[in-house]
Amino acid sequence: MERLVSLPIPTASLERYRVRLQRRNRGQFPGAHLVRRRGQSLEFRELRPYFPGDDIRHVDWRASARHGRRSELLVRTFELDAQTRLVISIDARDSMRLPAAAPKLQVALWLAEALAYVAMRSGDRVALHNLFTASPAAAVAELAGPASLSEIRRALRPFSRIPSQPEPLCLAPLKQALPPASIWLIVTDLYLEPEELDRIAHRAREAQDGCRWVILVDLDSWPCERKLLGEGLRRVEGPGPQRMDPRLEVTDQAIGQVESKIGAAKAAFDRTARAGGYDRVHWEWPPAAKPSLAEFFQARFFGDPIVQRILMKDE
Amino acid sequence: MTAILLVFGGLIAGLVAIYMVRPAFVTVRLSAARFFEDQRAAGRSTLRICRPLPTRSFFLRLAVLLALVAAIVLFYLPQLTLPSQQVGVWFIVDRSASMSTLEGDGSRMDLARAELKSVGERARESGAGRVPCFDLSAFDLSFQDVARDIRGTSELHRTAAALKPRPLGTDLNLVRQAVQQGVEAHSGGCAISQVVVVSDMPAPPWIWAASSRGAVWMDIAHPVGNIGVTEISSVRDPFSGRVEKARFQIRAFGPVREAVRVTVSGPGGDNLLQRELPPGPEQSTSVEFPTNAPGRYRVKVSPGGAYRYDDEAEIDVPAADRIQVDWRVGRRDLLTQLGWQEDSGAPDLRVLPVNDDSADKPAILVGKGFQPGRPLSQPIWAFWGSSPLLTSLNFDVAERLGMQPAGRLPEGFVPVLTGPEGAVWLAQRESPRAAYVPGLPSGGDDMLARFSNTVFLNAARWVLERRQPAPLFRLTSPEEPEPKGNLLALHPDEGNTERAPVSFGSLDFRPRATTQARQGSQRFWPFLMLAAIGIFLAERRLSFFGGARWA
Repeated sequence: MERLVSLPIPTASLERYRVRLQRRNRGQFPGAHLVRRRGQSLEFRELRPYFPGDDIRHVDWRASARHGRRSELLVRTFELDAQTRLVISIDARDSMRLPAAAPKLQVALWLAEALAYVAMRSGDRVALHNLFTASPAAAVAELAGPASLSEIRRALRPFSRIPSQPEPLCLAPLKQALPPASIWLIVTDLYLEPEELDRIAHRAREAQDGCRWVILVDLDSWPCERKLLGEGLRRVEGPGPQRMDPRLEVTDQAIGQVESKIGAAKAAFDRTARAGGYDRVHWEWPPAAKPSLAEFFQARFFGDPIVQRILMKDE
Repeated sequence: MTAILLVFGGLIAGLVAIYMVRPAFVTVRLSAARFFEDQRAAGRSTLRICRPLPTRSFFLRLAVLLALVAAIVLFYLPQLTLPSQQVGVWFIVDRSASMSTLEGDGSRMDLARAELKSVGERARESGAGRVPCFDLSAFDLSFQDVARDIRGTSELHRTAAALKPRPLGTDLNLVRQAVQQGVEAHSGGCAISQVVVVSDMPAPPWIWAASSRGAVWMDIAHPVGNIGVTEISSVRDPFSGRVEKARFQIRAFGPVREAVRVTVSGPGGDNLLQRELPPGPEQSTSVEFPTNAPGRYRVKVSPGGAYRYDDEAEIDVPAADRIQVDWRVGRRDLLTQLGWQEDSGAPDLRVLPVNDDSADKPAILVGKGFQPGRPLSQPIWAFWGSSPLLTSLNFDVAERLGMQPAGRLPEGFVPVLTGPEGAVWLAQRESPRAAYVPGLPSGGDDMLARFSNTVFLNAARWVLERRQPAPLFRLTSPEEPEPKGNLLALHPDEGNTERAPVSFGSLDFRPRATTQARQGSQRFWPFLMLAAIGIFLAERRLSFFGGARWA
């Protein structure tokens, strides 16, 4: 998938979507910006008594000693910082380039493009992270300046290039790129080696310690691939460990075993990664051999509540 | 050709089979392939047979193979059998003198007839019920069509029975021309597919090339013993042409099993010579005797062996032939001394002064003579060393004889001996033969006499050399085929009966394509071959660069 297909959503639609999200009563859905409203900016607002749950690092010990009553601590509160940081990690391995008729990487890139545009239009800062790359220095691309789809596409172009050989998992640059209270969006199919899966899950768990919101976008193309597979004698090819004899008989029993292995791998990831600030978005491909990827993406992007939460502004 | 066609048929069948066999499985590329790692492999066959895939590359490859097959068929078409056609055989039979050689109870001609019969029967058997047709020709020193379009073997036997050997030699060039002209040139009502040469001569080398046109050489001879006259020669007087001696070469082919007597009788019937060859291995001898009297001399070899035409030979020795001379110089006494006869009407030789107008005939031109001692010595400037006029001449003497220069000689004369300042002393002309000598024989016994005699006789011998003496014998010819008197049948090699037989070729009665058909088919096969190569290259190119639909 060398060629980047344009985002199937017009800019005007994205703009309407952004405005609609800002007007919306968030109700029971806390937006990302609300989470940050508790005060992560450096602009001091006031002192108030300490309540359980407040960050102990924000206790103003001097003011507490001078003005506070006995056994009462004062904590510093800060001005509301409506700006947030969104880091989108994209898995661009070979498995993401399948199924050939509806590649997952295409959806991942569309998602990154749309999210980055809306977020940047809202004044947020966005960074794109290549989850698998051999050059850590170039793993993170910061998107600065006014929102521009052409700039975003230029930054996304390296993800569509097919590497000459499999590249390693690259998580180290995230230490710098993910400040506290930022949003880390991981877009992948989770068809990974167990060791890689474990490393990403542990990194996600660690990220949640700094009030970061970790969202896994699980691009699940299995229904489509199941349709492609059909029944009978098949020769199954694809990335990852290869069978000695790639020919096999597709039966319900075999399919059941494969589905359970996929489910087990994803459940294991959830178990390891979940630590309070973790959400998984499950985008399941339609069960068709050649689904309309654009329609699928539009429906998912505009309809997914987690995506809406990412982009919602606090009132 | 059958093997080649089988190979190509197999290739075509293989190609079709390849395009009929398809994998029984469908290849699917999945991102979730890693989760199939532990699945059990399929136990059933992974190939299935179905209709050939009608892809473009299949048709191109099929076209290549079909073009090759068509090219091969056209290449071999001239040799394809046409079973419905009649079998035709052209017999060319040797009837030279050697075919009269006795072998067993009959002659070699009998063996040839038996061979004709045998071949005729085989032709009839291979004709699948159809009556074969035959042409019959014979050769010796001439080539003759004996009969055309003979229907059936019994008719062939009757015609062949009339063939008799003739006391003539063998000219194989006539057979070569006939065979090379090919069957088409000879075909009349009978479509010839096989040319069979029956002879007692071994197969010549050129028959190999002709075998592709259906020529077969059958040598019916078997080695048998023979002895006889093989060569006759004579010794003649160079001036008069008189036969002084005659010689007969006798040669035995194969071992001599019993004593052989060679008897020579003279003109009066008296025995001049008798010699006996004892039994022994192959040998040869010659008998030489003086022919003092003119007349017929006869040699007889007894017993003579299997070939009879060399058992006897007769030669006619002509009476002494006097030289007729037109003598126009002085000293007529020399005519008597030389035994020449004056005849100005039809002379063998003219002896003329150097300035005579009729010097354009065979002649000796005589110069102004010798003046010994004046001057004392004249050095020789140049001489033609190989000239017969200089035979036995003493050049030291020549420089002291005071030879006068020839002056202006008729056209065509070449100087043989020249003195100071190119003065010509001796000269000769090739056609008509003539010689210039400085003077007539002087007589006496001094240096001048010996030199002048030698020069004059050298000149006379050279000029008279062209005279054709009457032959001792003649050979039979198609115009005079029967030996009689000194008309002999001693043709070279006819009496050589000891040769091992050498035949060539095998009988193949299948009808052959005409030259026209052969040329027609052979004109097209190279184009088909080129077409096959072109399609193959195009298919390869499209396969590599034409994209998936050509793969």
